[in-house]
Amino acid sequence: MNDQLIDLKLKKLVELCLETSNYKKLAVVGFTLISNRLDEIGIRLGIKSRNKTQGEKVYEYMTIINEILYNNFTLTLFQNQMLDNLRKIEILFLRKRGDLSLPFVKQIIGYYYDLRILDVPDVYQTYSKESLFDLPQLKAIPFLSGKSNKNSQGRLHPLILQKIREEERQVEMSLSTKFDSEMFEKAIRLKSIRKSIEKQHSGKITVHGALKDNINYITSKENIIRYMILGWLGLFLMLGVSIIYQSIIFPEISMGVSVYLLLFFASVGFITLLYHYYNKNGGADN
Amino acid sequence: MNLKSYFKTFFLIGIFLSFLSLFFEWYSFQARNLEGELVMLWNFHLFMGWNTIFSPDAWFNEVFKPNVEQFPIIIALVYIAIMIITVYSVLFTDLEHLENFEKAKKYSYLHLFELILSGFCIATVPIYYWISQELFFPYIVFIDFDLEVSFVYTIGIGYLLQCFAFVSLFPYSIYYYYTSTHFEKQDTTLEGRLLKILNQVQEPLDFDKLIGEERLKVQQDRSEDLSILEKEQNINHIYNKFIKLRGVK
Repeated sequence: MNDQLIDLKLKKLVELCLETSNYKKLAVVGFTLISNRLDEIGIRLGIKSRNKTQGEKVYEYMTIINEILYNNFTLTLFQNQMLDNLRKIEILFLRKRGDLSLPFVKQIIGYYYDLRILDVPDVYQTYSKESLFDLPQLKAIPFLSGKSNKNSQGRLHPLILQKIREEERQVEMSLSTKFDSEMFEKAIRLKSIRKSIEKQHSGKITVHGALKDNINYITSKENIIRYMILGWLGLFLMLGVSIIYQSIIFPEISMGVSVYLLLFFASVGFITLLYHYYNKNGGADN
Repeated sequence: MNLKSYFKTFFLIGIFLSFLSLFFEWYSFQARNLEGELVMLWNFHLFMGWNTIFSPDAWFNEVFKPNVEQFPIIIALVYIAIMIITVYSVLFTDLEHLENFEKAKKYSYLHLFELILSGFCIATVPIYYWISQELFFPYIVFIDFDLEVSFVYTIGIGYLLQCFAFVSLFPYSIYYYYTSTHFEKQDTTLEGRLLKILNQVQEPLDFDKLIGEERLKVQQDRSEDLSILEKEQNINHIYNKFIKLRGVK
């Protein structure tokens, strides 16, 4: 159900409940909406969902989210005042089995809308190669502007990581003073890029979403031209080695096959040069 | 058509060439007399071994029959089976849209094995089957003045097709192997995955039912109110009637 539809139906329910003075129903609905919204926030941030079966309370879950975000981005998503009030209301709600007075119900619904305002980005979101250029500090790095080869990418990794960390620190400082959805998204993006670069050193690269949108895949896809050059190199090497073997076994025909030897090994040399040239210039243009 | 699609097409062409190569001659050993007349011809096929156009009565042809073992048919059959599977994998499983990389990884090993088999045919067959039997490679003409014939040792169209197949197969096979073994993917798309998890986690809220219940209550309350009003109206009506009967307005 989308937010607009929820708003319409909630409004209707509030009107009717006010008429019947059934505030208990409104309190239950309010807490359910808050719980569902928190589940969504948690999942979008990649945090485990609230453990309802173990009786994990709403304010406890909010505290966990706050702690995780603070540790990762020095960000306080839910303000302390909000947390305190919700904690009191929730305890009261549980003790009185939902029988809350109208002012409390108003507060619950108000907090639901406060949570709705928080525009939390997905940590799973993938970023295109172009989106990296939105980061001013990273613009100058040749790896991202496509003017270096793969080997130099490896050498540049520490530099890139340092730049990303610096940018991360700035964003964290900004977030620690005030919640800003755009800054928060940027923090997640920076972290995602940093982890992706760090992961290039070891093991597999995890792809969230479509493979075609992954920066590592886009870069690696261009290697197919390198593979083609290597294929030709392999073929000429195999043929050349077979002829060398033949010349060793039958030295009397070595004169006859020398032209093929020359042809194949000249091709090997030429392709090796081509491969180096491609690595140096051509490959990075892709 | 993007770069990947070009190489995918090359791959399919490579498979086709590789398949064709199995049915063409890989090597030809022939002799011609001084008049240029063909007096001996032996062609090597992977499936059929050595065969000739001459009858067994042609003694000169029989004398020069190469004494080479038959290429193992099982290898050729395995090669064909792998070709069929890899064509299926390329045509029906697009790596960029694939949800399960484990499946692609299995195919990628077959791609690699296919490449090794192709390389084996190109490198091992000349060394093991031809050179060891003094069948020279890749193309040599040897004139025997005593026999007054010229011997021609040459690779056949099948071998050349296999060479072209190897270079056509190589890029996409390595790309397929690299991509499926170096990337791992979440099982579903982002939104789909989030919605699925949210549906499992979130508490269901049936607004229509809740509104319906409250509406019913309101209606009941109103009907109770109405009955009181009706009673009052009836009392008033009786009272008014009573007053009217006494001639008072």
